[in-house]
Amino acid sequence: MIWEADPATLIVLALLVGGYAAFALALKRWPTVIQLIAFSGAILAIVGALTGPVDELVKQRSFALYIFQQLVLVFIAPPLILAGTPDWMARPVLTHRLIEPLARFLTRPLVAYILFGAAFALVHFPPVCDRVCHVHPVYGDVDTVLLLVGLILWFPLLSPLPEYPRLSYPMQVMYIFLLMIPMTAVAAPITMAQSVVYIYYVEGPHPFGLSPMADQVLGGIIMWVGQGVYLMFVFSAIFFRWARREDETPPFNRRPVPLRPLPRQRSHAI
Amino acid sequence: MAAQPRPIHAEQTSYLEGGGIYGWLTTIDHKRIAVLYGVTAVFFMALGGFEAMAVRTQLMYPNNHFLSAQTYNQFFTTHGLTMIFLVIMPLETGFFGNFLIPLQIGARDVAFPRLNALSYWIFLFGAITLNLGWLYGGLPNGGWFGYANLTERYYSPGPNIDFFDLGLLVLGVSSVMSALNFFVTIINMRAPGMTFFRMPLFIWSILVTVILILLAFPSLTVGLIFLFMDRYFDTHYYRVIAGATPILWQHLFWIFGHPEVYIMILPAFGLISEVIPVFSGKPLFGYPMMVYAIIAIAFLSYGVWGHHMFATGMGPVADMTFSVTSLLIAIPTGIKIFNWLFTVWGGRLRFTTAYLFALAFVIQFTIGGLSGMMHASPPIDLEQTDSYIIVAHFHYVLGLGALFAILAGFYFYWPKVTGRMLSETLGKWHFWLAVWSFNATFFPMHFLGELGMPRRIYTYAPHMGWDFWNKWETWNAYIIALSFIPLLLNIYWSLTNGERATEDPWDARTLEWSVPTPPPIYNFAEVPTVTARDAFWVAKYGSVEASGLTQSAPAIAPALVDVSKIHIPAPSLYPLLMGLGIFGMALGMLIGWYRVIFTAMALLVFSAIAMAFEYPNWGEENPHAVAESFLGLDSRKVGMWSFIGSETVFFACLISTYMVYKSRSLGVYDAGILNIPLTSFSTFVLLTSSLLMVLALAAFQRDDHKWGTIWLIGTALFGCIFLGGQVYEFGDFWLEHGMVFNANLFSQCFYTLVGFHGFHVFIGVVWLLVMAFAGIFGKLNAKRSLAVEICGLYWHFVDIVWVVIFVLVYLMRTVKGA
Repeated sequence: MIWEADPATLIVLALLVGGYAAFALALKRWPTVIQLIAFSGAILAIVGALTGPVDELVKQRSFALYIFQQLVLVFIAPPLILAGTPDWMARPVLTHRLIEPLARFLTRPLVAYILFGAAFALVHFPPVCDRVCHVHPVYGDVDTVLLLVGLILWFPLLSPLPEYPRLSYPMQVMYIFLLMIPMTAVAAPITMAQSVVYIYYVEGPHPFGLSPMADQVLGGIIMWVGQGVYLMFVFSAIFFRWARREDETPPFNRRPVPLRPLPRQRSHAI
Repeated sequence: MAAQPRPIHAEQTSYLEGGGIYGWLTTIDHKRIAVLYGVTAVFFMALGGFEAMAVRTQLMYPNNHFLSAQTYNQFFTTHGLTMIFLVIMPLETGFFGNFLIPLQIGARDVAFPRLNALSYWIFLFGAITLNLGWLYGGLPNGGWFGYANLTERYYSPGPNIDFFDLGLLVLGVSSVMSALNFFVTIINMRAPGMTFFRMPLFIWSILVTVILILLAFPSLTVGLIFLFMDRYFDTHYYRVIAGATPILWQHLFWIFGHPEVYIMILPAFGLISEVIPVFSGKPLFGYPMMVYAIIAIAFLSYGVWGHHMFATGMGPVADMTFSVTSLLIAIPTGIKIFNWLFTVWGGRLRFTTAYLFALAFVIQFTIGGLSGMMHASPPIDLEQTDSYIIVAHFHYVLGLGALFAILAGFYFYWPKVTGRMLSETLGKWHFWLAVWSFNATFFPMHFLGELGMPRRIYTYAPHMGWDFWNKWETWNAYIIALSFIPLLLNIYWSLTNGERATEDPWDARTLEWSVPTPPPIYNFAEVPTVTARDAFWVAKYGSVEASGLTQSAPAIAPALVDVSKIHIPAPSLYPLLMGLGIFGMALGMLIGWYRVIFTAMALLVFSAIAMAFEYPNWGEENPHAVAESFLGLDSRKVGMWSFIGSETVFFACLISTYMVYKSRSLGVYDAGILNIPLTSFSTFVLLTSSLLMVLALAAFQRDDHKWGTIWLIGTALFGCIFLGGQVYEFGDFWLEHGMVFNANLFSQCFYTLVGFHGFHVFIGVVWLLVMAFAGIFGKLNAKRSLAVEICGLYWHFVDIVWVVIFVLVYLMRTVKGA
């Protein structure tokens, strides 16, 4: 069987890998093993979800796998890309005098949160989705948009640069908690709809022998419960890192512990 | 909330002394407000208990006629509402929350003391509104969930449901206010060194609870507003005949209702986590896991509301989803149960009354939790729903759970609150009577449920196998009532002859025990510096793990500061007046007398303005901000952010309803009527006003108050133009097109959504004008620019909401299927 891919997806992949390699070669520095693993993981996730057999099934109108693709694009790939980016690679870009003001604005937690929520809700809003999601030249662009807003969304949690401080741990927990609101607001109506909401998916039969309705419900569940469980894990990871950081300060030191956030922590509200 | 300093005389030590009746009415001291909450809640507990006894008496025999069916409906409904909203919530967050938060985090008061008093008075008047049926027209009778469409005027013509609707609306305002207050207090007012992971677990539980309140109550408010409009303005939010669905109410109610369950149980967890370590003589086992469990429960609580609706036929997939998410909650809850057990394990146990109640809580709550897991399975739930096994379940988690935790907290904190000890002998009588009678009453309800006895029926036929257990339960319910007699005797004995309590009668672990008993009005003569979790224990014994047998330092260091220099907020009458204003508005609505409404509204506005200008230094920094805030933010700013969070949910509910109902709307009016060119202009004007707001703030920050004022006036002017456009638009629809408010689903949803937004713009304009006046009189400068910034936050929020409304309501109107 031939492993096929959309041109748009290939361009995005090529830009990612090419850019990474070009920066490493130009700056003559080598990322750490963990960073390489994380970055390759992101590339593999995109390749696995957006090309080949999975994408083939999506083109045969599998709604469930379409949702899976989108979750990979916003929840799996961006954190891995950010974790795989060394600070020396991000610095020349994000501290460039033309890029910095925009980057600072977009990565403000509240802006990132609203941008992601609005973009994610918009591409799932039936009238919008019916027009752009499955028209082929645009299709790839929707994926790119999701990847970009995903990167912006995760930036306040996983910023690779000390110049762009991460959110403090309590705010990270809050951020993840509030993230459940737009995700549930998109997933719940799709899951509980009484009819097929996207015109594209009205035509059957869908892969795996599912009726359009059953496929839609399955997709809704993947988005709702899948993201919920995933965010629970993210929250747990953040929480225990926070708890460990707090425990590293000896529990009964006599010296008052300053309440100022550590240098890498962001100090304004979301 | 700056306040004028008031000299405190050295001899005026206890917060309970001085002031007289007027002092209590105008108090803004968190400890006095706590006592007010406590006394009010105990009164309503007696009332709710009386209703329960009447209900049980009615069910004692088959075909009994002690109560009529109508009275029965009113009593079981009001019993539920009273116990949830007027007993458990005010005792946990109102009494314990108010009393303990500042004391446990080392603060002198809450962040906004007058807002705190206002919350109490609104709570009191909301409680009275809910219970007005005792005097006139009958109590609420639709169940505490008040399912639509039985609550429509057509099915329930009397005022019963109006009491329910308006009472809960008023109570919701109070809850959100105090939640906001506590949130800011915990975030911003902690003593130096009190990091998040050094906070007592009760503080953690309250922090998570108030976040739940802020994000859950708006959903209920929206549902209640729709109900209110259906009943008063003849709209069709829950009327099938107009294309609406009564299930909307169930979604709105349970999106609130399930977090509400955790709002009631998390503070109970917190209290238990305070009591158990003290009497086990050990630090709490697995503190980070306990915190984790609380947050995880809050996370999950928003994804489980559907398990209250299995019987509405949501379909197998939605049922399965809600079942899985509901079962997941068992994991963090299990963590908590085991951690309490491990805290007890190997400790030096002291079986005081408080400890006994806490241990009973752990066991009984587990029983209630297990039956809860059964209901989480849809097939089992379909058999059990609306049967007595559900009644058994929620009485085990709330009655034998939350109430036992409250009693544990009561016995534990009574000495700190009153300065007197309770009798342990009477306490143990109370405990054993309560354990026996509560279990004997509620456990057999599991059997009755399995035998098929439905809930909410006022009587039943004989020989169905229900006769014995019903009689048994009623007699034991009387013992529940009796079990409170030792408690009352104990309170009386303690207040008259009780032994004087020392600062630290239980050899406890947290900061509230380090202050004199009862605490002075300023709490801490010297704000403590916290160096560890269980800060007071460490101060006494040197380390958290110390056995507590050898004291290394004197427990209470004598205060070396001059207490007369401590700034404490001065009392204020306006919270009470504002509460009266809100009460008057609800009352006027109930009796349909518009003059009362407008008088009350005038009182409300007057007191709000008077309160804002009560102190001349209203723009100064908060003198209570003893702690360095971890956000580096001002309390008012954090407060505005949490208010915006709450408002976001409010608008999200309104917008979702509009989106759902637009496609279900029948009749001639639809989104085609909307005037896009006009609204595009209004949108442009509103967005420009946001720009002017930014300019105004920038001007004040560089101390240019002339241009700052000009930009502020400009912002207000543009807001007025926007409002004018909206008035023109509404008038055009109403008069030219004849689209009256309740013409169809589209019209009512449109007017409600856009109207509420317009109201927010109106409030914003008034606020801006007040700011502009302050600017004209030279009251605003760089130091006070924060006041402008907060106003600006609100203004930008209102604009963002408008952008969403403009896109979804106006621009998408022609999109097919939108």
